Order: sequence, then structure tokens, then C-alpha cells
Amino acid sequence: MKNSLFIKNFSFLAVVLLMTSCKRFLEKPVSSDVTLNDVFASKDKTEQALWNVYSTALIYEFPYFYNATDLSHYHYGNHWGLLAIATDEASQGIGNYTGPAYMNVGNWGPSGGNSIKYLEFDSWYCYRGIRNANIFIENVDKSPFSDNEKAAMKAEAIFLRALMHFDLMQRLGGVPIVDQTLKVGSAEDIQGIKVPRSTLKETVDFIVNQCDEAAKNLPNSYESKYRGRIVKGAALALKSRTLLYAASPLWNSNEPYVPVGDAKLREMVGYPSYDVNRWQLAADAAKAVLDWAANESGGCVLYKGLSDYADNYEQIFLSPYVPEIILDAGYGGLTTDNYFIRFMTPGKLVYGGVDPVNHAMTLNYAKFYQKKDGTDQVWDETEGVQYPYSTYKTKLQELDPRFQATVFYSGQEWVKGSGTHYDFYASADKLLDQYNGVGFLRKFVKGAATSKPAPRWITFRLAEFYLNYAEALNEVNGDPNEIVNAVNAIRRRAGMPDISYTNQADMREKIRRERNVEFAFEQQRFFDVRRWKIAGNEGVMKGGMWGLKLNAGGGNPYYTLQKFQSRVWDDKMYLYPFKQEEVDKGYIVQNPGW
Amino acid sequence: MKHNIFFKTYKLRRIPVWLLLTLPLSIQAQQAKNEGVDSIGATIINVPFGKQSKQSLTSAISSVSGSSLRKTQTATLSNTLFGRLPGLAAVQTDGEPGYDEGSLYIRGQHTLRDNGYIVLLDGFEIDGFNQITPDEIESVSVLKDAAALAMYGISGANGAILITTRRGVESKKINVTFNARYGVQAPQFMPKLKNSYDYASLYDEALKNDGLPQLYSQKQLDGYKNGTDPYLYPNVNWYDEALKKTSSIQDYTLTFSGGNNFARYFVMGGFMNNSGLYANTDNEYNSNIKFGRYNFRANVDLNLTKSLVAQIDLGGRVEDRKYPANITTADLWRSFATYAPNLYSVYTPDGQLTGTANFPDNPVGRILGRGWDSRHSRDIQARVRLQQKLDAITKGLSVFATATASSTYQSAYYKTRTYAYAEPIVTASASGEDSLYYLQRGVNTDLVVGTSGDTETDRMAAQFGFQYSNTFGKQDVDALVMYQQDKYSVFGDQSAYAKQNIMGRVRYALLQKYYAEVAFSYSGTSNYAPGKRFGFFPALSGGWILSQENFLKHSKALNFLKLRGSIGLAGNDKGASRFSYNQYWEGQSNAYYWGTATSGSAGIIQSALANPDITWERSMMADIGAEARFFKNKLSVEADYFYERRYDGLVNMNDMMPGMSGLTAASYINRAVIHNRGIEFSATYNDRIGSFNYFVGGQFAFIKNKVIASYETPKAESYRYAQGKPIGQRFGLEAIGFFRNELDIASSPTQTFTTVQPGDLKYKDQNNDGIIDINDETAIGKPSVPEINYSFNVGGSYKGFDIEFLFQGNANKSVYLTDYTIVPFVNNATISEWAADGRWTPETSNNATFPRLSTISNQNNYRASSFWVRNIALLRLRNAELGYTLPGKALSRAKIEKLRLFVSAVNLFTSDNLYPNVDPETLSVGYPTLKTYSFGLNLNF
Repeated sequence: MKNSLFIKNFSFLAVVLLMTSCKRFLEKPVSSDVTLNDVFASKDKTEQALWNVYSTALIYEFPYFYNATDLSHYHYGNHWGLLAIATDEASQGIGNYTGPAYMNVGNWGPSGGNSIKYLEFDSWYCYRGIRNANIFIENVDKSPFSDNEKAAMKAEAIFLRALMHFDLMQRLGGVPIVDQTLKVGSAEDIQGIKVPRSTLKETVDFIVNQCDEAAKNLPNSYESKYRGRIVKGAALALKSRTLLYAASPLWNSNEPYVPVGDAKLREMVGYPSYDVNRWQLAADAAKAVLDWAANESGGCVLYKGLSDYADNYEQIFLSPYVPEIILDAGYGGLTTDNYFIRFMTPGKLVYGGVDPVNHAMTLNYAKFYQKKDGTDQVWDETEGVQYPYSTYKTKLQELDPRFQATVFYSGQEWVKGSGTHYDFYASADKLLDQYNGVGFLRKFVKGAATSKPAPRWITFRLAEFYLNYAEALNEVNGDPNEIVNAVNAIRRRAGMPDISYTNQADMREKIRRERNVEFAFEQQRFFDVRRWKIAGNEGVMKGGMWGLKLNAGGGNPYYTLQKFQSRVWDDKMYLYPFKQEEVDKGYIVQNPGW
Repeated sequence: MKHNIFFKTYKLRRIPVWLLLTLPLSIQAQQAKNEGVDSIGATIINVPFGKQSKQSLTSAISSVSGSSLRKTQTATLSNTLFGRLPGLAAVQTDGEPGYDEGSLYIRGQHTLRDNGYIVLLDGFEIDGFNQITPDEIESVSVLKDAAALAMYGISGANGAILITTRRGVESKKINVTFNARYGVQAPQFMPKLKNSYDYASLYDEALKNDGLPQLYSQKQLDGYKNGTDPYLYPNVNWYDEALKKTSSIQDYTLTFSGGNNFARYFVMGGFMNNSGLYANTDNEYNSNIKFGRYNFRANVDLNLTKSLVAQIDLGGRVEDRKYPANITTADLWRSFATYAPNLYSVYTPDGQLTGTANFPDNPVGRILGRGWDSRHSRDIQARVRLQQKLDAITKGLSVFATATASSTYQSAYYKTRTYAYAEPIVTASASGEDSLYYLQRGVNTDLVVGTSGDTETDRMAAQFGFQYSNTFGKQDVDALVMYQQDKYSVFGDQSAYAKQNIMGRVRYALLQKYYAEVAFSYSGTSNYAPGKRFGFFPALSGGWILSQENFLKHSKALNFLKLRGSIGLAGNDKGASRFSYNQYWEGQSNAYYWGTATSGSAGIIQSALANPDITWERSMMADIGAEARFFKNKLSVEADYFYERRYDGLVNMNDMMPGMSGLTAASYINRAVIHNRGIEFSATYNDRIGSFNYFVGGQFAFIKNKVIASYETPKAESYRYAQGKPIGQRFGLEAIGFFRNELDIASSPTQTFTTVQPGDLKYKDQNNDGIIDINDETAIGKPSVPEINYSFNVGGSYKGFDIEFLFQGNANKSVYLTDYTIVPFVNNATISEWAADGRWTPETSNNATFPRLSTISNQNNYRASSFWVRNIALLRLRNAELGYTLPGKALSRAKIEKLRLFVSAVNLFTSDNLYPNVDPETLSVGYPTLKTYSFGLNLNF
């Protein structure tokens, strides 16, 4: 029968259809998608996971990348500029869209369009790095590397996790310590992962402990292609910086920086009372870095490769192979792809687009530089008076070689030996007249050019630990020779005459001043003025910011003293506020005053 | 026994459903008579996997015939649905030919995530339906309640649109129809901009407000005013320079249908062409927007044996789109709207295009100088169905199998170039006279030809099942059980989208009075974890024809009355990323840079947090409805009330997650609850006075939703939560006028966004903390999807003449003015008339409608606030048509059965309460929506 034949076939077809399909039809086919087990079953992928910890831990302390919809490439450094602009170090020339444009006038806080997360720092990025580090730490043992390799790689992740906690701490005080992957399977789990803030002491102890842990297994060096990978010295360096900060007046004090009623909060924003022993710990940790450099590092020394002092100093920031560097980072690619040039180079000397940011050094900061003979420059200008341009040039030329390498001021060559000198009062076409202060930023950026590799950014260099050591040792009234030797090591390298020991208070000022000069624009001052609790002093983070304003003067160029800005400071700003969103989630105690 | 006329005609209950599938559709003639009323009047409507008499229907389904949709001349099918289906809201937000599809909402919004509905063509899911032509459509049905959607189970909860194509009808001859029409289109609304003189004077006023020096000299102002030198003192309206007054749309279709008791066929070929508004284009070096489409369809029914019926369908289309290269339409229209009138003349005196370093993109140059881009897509769908009666086993039983294969392919082809342009440089000579010279910039390049962006999608799906239909005395039973699988693959995706479904229904009727239906789906998708892929979705519905009861049977006025109700579950599997139950990692190129490397080492990172329990959103839907006819069936009325509880709705876990989790991408979890409820009402009245037939009809729907649980980021102020408010609620500050003077500013709470001055917007301090910041943002305005949608139509015929008007409107919605519609002068943007005329000045402070002018992107004024919200209602004459059918005698000699000539219009007028006077739906951002005047003919042989 025709019909039954059809039915037979039909039913057969249907049964086949159902049988073949029901089982596998909804299964996900084999694909290139990767799960955790795949990652840690392979050496390649395990390594890639570690590179990703590096990448998301963002040790490149520079706002190299700007993208309005993806802010993920910076959490350090101000929006469109260096932290320096938000201290007395520097100002911006063009544009009022940088972070400091808001921070310097006190128009910022925990929420809204001027939230600190847009201007300078979003804690979330640190915790993203921490999460990736935690995942790595918890799983690397599954990987097919040897036990020693695994231990070393784990130590790298432990260091990066500690570094992220330090980033959080230096801005926020005691923070939630996240030392394991926070697991969330459902909304109900969220309550369980709301880790409360630790006290400052606990946070410091955690970082120090992790540095010790990492130092045990980190190598002293790598093959050259891994320039920038974490060595043992980096762990010691982070420990030194952490203990120095912990010992400093902001936290190591009987009085909090603003009145705090809540005893718990008090311990989140500082130690409950002063303890001089914290300085001893800081001194020991700094010494440990110096000892590591001398005995273990295989060549980490203060750089003295070039005969000219200014060139030698400048070279530290231009060459990625200077032996002084303990840890640096590249966020790379070519400079055409990033904003380094736009943010950092003067006017349109290098950068061809619109609105360069124009970082310039303030007169306030230039005054920290002594003359080459070790005496102070005379800054006796008064407002409204015209001084000859030649005086401007002379006064600046007389300063410390490090000033010459740090600032590109008027009348100088951009490329040394080129014979092309720029007089800024006449340089509107290159926008070289668009700055506030004494001259443009030169350090780091002299070598920058489009289509060249973006410069690497230094996280730790050896010079810091000489000055960390001097500063800490001075506070415990340590051996005067040790103190001045540490400072003079830095000064000699820069071609500056030695200083000699006077007394603790005077040495404190001298060491601080040396630090300002040595580390200008290196993201140190911003935190130093906080930990020294001097940000509220007139001319530091508050009050008048000064510059030397040039004028073509119809053929007789002159300069005047100019107050280009009056800045606003409130002591609550010693620590950032936590993002309001986080406070609203009900597990964060906000910092006082915010 | 007193039957209503429709029932008498068809005696549907005695016809097995499977037969209805192949039923010669003589009802089309009936539908033609009932055009405009078919959502109520049609007796048989298309339901999932079959047809059903309207009388026995226990679910909420609205339906409209293809011939009604033909009344609106538009390229895009969704734009024909405005006002045609109660419960379906349509909003048009773009008018660009080829990309002008409206946004449709079936019973409003249901979820915080993906509100997308499914579209089914002859029983199978398809990607989009906008480019199907009405001439191949028998009907479009909207499935709204649980009973109607039950068989779509896991994908049904957002509603469904069911499209049924036309099929051949047994006939003694070949029926040939030829439809042709040609329309002229023009924008409904164009923004009005200020001329150069006003622009320059106002710019100076704005500079003064900002404390900045003036820009324009008196001489320049005079130059703009006198218009003596169009090169030195340009005064350009970019719309006028770039656009034509009108564009065109035309379409032609030819259909053949007929057949005998062995084979029947419906064959259609169609061509549509729609062009844009850009003037002076030559199609060689530049192009107007062009959209051309060719549709075809061949549906064949074969009675292979007495009991075996086969359907073989092939449908498809070719779409070709062309437009100016290197710029999006939105950006091009933005430049018309924002380029200052005095920026430059369009051309130099020598006829060269102008431009400047900052504004190199002369809008006219963008159209004429840069070449063109094109997109080509091809879509084909084949379907085969076999149905075998199994009366030998038991009477009324049949088995069927259906399979479909469809494919779409898209590619792009472009020819682009750049052009040299002249920058006008104005210099002042020693005598003070302005003079002008041109600086050459850019270069003319040859055309560069290339291709890009190939995409392909494929679908293979099959169905298999049994139907049963029988009558036992006074009882009718009708059952369907079937299996379906559907695999949809996207070019480049590693995993196809797979779905499986076992579904069925049983209908029971007693005495043609009492109806009950149980339907279910056991369906699953590949998106969820093994073991968690399938869900069960049942629905129950019933109907009671009260007019068959003795107590109503003899009513003169009431001819028909039915009550019906349904309740059931449905799912929504959209909204979360695919396979998010499993924790994946993804590779990153250039993750980290060692040394001086300029390319980074690769990295690998954990992707968005997995949710092993992720599942579909669920809806419990209930609906009660009534249908009635009065006065010899002249008045038909239908009303529905529905309630939907959407639960397990997707919310982003990251909104609640503490920052320290370090998690990045959104990850979804089933937690939201939304209530959606509404009423729908429609009525039609048909009558005649002598030989004048007329009808009046109307539809009304009022639908509101409310977010019950949304798991938002915690907020400091309770009024900032979206929970408790409608989906998509806007938030912003509450504007309470302008600052009158410095005293007013000093005595008001501090506004933290920027320093304010008189004429700036003043906001309410919602939390009374003395400062105005984002914590003062509160709910502003109504939802953007209108809560009220309505339409009414009126029409009639007299002798050979017929006429119809369809009005469509909506209300209870808000639009939000933003971006360049409200920000003059920033980046040299122009100023609109309404901003200029309404601006705050000390003199106009009492009746200003716009803040003081500023050349800066003012952080205080141009931010989300109630000042820029407009609650609007609109009513438009969506359609008007006047036709004349020539007397049969005159035509029969030419073998013409029928010739009808008509003129029609789309969007003849729109009335709304929006100030400023811009398009109430697009806000005149981007390509405008159009009004169309058409004429055409319908020819039947």
C-alpha cells in the first residue's frame, strides 16, 4: 500500500530525527573556548595568565592611554597628566579637562562627575589586578612548570597583589585586604564577599608580610628579553616604601590628620599612637634594598655612565637598560598609538594635534633646586615688575644639573647640540608660550617621538632607597655619617657638593629637599606631602602657585613674577574618599570628612 | 438554531484543522470586504500551527490582513503596522530608506534586559520581517497571551508575530494581479535654524555671558545682514544646500494564483525602490541614499494522493542599499544641524568645495565628494511540508512533517575617494577692508574600490507531529502534539543557536458554547547548563459563548457575546550572553610589554563571571477578554485585560557587587520582578446607507509596567531607585526655573556642577542638604515607550469609490531633548530658532524657555534635568486613501476583471504638543521621518 509505505518511511524518518538529535542537539560543540583547567594545564597559557596579572595590576604608573569609554588603562596618575600637576611641582598649560583642574580647586569628592574615580584613581582597577593575581596564585601549582618555576611565578603574583594593596593604602589608608579569589555564584553570595576595611596596621603588616613571602622565591635577575619582570629587589623595595610611609607623620602620630570620633575609623586612617620603632623598621628595610643591590643584584648601582651630570641624570629616564632601575614597566606600543606625547611633551614641538596638556614646573618647586655650588638661588622678584629675559635664563642656568635635565625652559635647546634654541615668548605657533611656571617638563620625554616605543616608566629605582634610608635613620637619630653618606651618594652622582650633618630637624628638611629634587615628576611628591603632613602649608597644596611669565616686550623681552593659580586644600584630602558607590553598598566606612 | 452569518458560511467546527491549512482561501474575498475591520471581523485567523475560527478562539490574538498593510506605502513592513493591531505599539525613530524600521512593542515592555519578540514565518522563526512585502502576506497575527504563546515555551514571553504567506486558491483560470504605486516623500519636520546675522549676534551675546571678548565686528555683522558678499560673509542653510525637497518611493508587484484539485500555486514577484533626499548626486562619484528590493515567492500545494498533501514553498529577496561613503547618516545629519551658517560658503566662486582645517567636512562635500558605499543582502527561505491523513487508524488523525532551510548573506562594496578643498582665509588689509583668499587643502584622489563586512546566517529547522480532530455528537476535540528543532548559525560563531521543543495542545468544545484549551511546551535551548536546559510551560484557556445560552439567544440587539480567559507560563531566553553558565577565559593580544618591545606578549584573562544557574526569564500571564457583536452584527467590540508577572528577570550582578571583587564585565542573574498590566479595547461599526457602505473603527490600549525588584546599585537617596518605577525610567534633576539674579543664586542651595550665573537653570534640592549634586536626581518624565496607544479609522464606499482614513496616536510618554538639539555654539555649532527665540536674557527672564546662551558646554544647564523632558501626546493621520474602481463593463472587453485607481498618503499630518517643533519621535536627530503622497493602481485579470 502506498499509504502505509509512506507512513513507515515517515515514522522511520521521525524516529531517526528524534534519536539523533535529542541527545546531542543542545550540546555546545567543540570550540576554542578556554576554561580555567585548560589555562593551567598548559605552560604557555599559564604564562599568559601571569602576563595578564602584570597587565591588570597596572604597574605602569602613567596615564598613557585615554579613552572616554574605556578608562581601564589608568588608575594611576591624573586624568590626562601626571600626579605632579596636583601638587606644587607642576601645572598644566592648555585645557581644563585634566584631573588636577578639579583637584587643585578642591572640586572633587567621592561621587558625581568630579568623582575621584574619574580624576585620578578608581580602586576597582587595583582589585581587578588583585583578583587576577589571586586566581593565579591559587592555580599555578596545577601547571606543568617545575616546582621552582612555580614558586617564582607565584611570588611574582604575590608581589603584584601586594603592590596593588599598597596603591590602595597610600590613597585610602586601611583597605579591605583581598587575599583570595572572591567567589560569587549568585546574588546571595555577594553579601559574603563584602570584605570590610582592615586597620592601617593590618594593611601595612599584610603588604610587608607578602613582600617577605615573595622575596623568598623571586630571582635576582632575568634574561634580558624579560626586562621589567619582578626581581627580589622589587619586593624589598616595596617593603621599604611601605614601612617608610607607615612610619611617616600622617599615620605614625598621636593625632589623626583630622579629628576622628570613631575609634575603629581612627585605626583605619592611622596608627593609634606614635612609635619611633616604625622608623627603625623603615630604616632596616631601606638598608636591605641597598644591601641587596650591593651583594645580590648583579649590578644594581646608581647610574654614572655619562660624564655630563645633567646628561647622566636624564639618561636614567630615557634608557631602559640603566642598572639603577629595580622595577619599571612598559605599557607600550608606539607613541603614535598613545597619549604620552600629547600629555607630556612641550607645546607642539613633538606632538602635532590639538590642545597639548603642557606640563610645566612651578616656581614654587624650582626653588628647591640649589645652584650648582650648593647655595640657594636668589628669588627676589616681586609682582608687577619687569625683569630682563637674560636674568631669567641666567638664574635657571645656574641651578642643579638635575634641573637642567628636568625642565625645558626658554632659551634652551630641545635637542642638545642641535643649535636650535626656543624663546617661548615668541613661540605661539608651537604653543610654547602655553604654560604656567618656569618651563616645560623635559625629564622622561626628551627622547619621546611619534612612532617610537613609548618610554618605560620607573616604579622603583635605587636612588629612592638611599633617601628612604637617610630619612628613616635621621628620625631614629641614627649614625650621622650613615645619614649624610646616603644623601651625598645621591648628590655626588648629580654633581652637587656634599652636605654635612647638622641636627635632626635640619637634616629632615635637607633630606626632604633632596628627595624633591631627585624625584621631581616621578609621582613621589604627591604622596610625600601627604605622608609628611605638609600638604596644607601655604604654597604646597594650598595657596599661590607661581611662575615667571615671559613677554616679547617689543624687542626687549622681559619676565614678570606671576601668580597663575590659587589652590584649595582641606585636611580631609590627606586621604581620598572611597567611591560613594562602594560606601552605599554598606560595607565600607568612609574616610573622615568626606 | 440561530447562527451568526460567519459561522453559517463556514461551519468551521466540522472541518479538521489540518484541512484548514490547505483550505482554499475564499475568505479573502470576504476579507477584502472587511478591510479595516479584519482584526475583529475576520472569521478565520492564523494561530500557531494552524487556523482557527475566531469564535472558538480562547486566546488573545490580534490579526491584520496583508491587503490592509498594503495601504501604507512604505518600504518596511513594521511601518505598515502602526495602529493596525491592538496591543502592538509602534514607534518610528528613523526615516532613512532601508533603515527606517519602527520599534515594535507587544504589550509594552516586559523586562529590564532584552525585550525582543520572536517572529515566525509559516511556522518557523525568522530573523527579521521588515523586508517582506505585504503582497505575499495573507495575515500578520500578534500573539499576546499565555494561551497563544504557550507552544513557543522558552522563547515566547515577550510576544510573537506570526506571519502567514498567501497560498493558491482553486480556480477556473489563472488569477493575475498587478499592483503599482509611486509616491513622493518629504520630511515631516525640519529643524529651523538661525541665519548668519542672528547667529553672529547671538554668539557675541553668549561670549559676553561667558565673560569673553566679542568675536564679530560691526562690519561683519553688517556683512551678514546685507548679504552682499556670500563668500566673505556666508549665510548657509546646510539643509537647503544638501537636500532636495522630495524623494521618491515606488513599488510594483505581480502575482499569479490558481490551480485545481491536484495542484495550487501562488507566485509573486515584486520590486521596490526608495531613494533619499540628497541633491545633485550622480551615482558615479557619489550617491544619494538608495534602497532597492526584489521580493519573490512561490507557494505550491499538491494533493499527492487523496490523503497526502504536500506544500512546497520558496521565498526570498534581494536588497541593495547605497549611500554616501565614509560617514554615517546620523553624523551627516548632525553636520547639517550643527554647522554654523557663516562657517564657509558651500563653494568658492570657482565652484570648488570649501572646508577648513577644523571643519574639513563640508556637509555638501561629504555627500558629493567622497564616493559611495553599498550593502547587498540576499535572503532565501525554502519550506516543505507533508501531511498524511491517518483516517485508516482513527478518524481525524493525521501526521505531518515540515522542514525549512533558510539563509541570508550580506556583503558590502564601496567606491571612495577624497577631494581637494579650499579653505577661506579672511585678512584685514591696512585700509580695514576684509579680503578673502583660498588656501588649498587635501587632494583629489582616484576612486578606491573595495569590499567588506560579509556576514551569513543559516537556519535549519524541522517539525514533526500528529494532529487529531473529531466530533463526537455535541463535542469537538482537536489535538496537536509535535516536536521541533531549530538550529541557527551565524557566520563566524563557533556554536550554533540550537533549540528543541516538544509542544502540543488539546482543544475541547461543547455545544459550540463552551471551549477549553490546554497547551504546553517542553522546550530548551543550548544556552544553559547541561541538565538545566529545558523548561515546561503550560497554559490553560477557556471561552464561553453567552449568546448561545437561552437567556441571550433571543436578544435583538446582542448578536454575539463571548467571554474568554487564559493563564499560563512562558519564558524569555534572551538577554544574557551565550553559554554564560560556564567560566571561560579569553586571550588578549599585547597584554604586557617587556623591555622596548613595541608589541606585547599575549595574555589570557578570565571572562565575565559565569552563572552556573543562569536560566530563562519567566512570565506568568493572565488574560481575560470579551468579544461581542450588536445590531445585526454591525457593531463588533472586543476588550482584554491582562496581567503579567515577569520573574526570574535578568539583572546585572555587578551592579550590586562590591568593587573589591575586581570583576569586570556584566554577569546576569535571574532576580528581577516586573509587573505589566493593561487593557486593550477595539470596536468596529459597519453599515450602509443606500449604496453607501461605511465603517468606523477604533483601538485603544493602555499598558503600564512597574519594576518590583531590580537589584540595583545601592543609592544614597531612596528616590533614585528604578525599583518601583516603570522600566526605562529617566532620572535627572528637577529644574525649578532660571536664576533671576546674583541674590537668587546666593540664597539658593549651591549647585556643584559649575559656577552658575543668572539665566542658568536652578534645581530643586531634593534631599535638602544645601547642595545640588547627583544625589538630587529624581525620576523625571514618563517612560519613553508610550503607555497609551490608540488609533481609529473611518471609511466607506459608494459605487466605484472607496475611501479610508486611519488615525494613529499615542500618549503618556516622554522624550528627552539632548545633545546637539539643545547645545548651541559649543564647537561652533549653530543655533536653532527655538533656542534663540526662547533664550534667557535679563529682559525675557519672565518668559524664557531656554537658558542664557553660552559658548561653553555648560555643565549646569546641559545635564539631565526635567527642563529637557517633554511629556508628549501625538496624533497623526497615518493613512488616507481614496480609490475608484472602474465599472466592470468597460473593462471586461479588455479581459480585465478589476481596475482600481487610488491616491493615498502616509503621515499626512502629525499633531503633537512637543515644543520645540521637531519630530516628536526622532526629535529631528538623524534622517527625518517622511510623509508620502502616492498614486497607484490595482489590476486584476
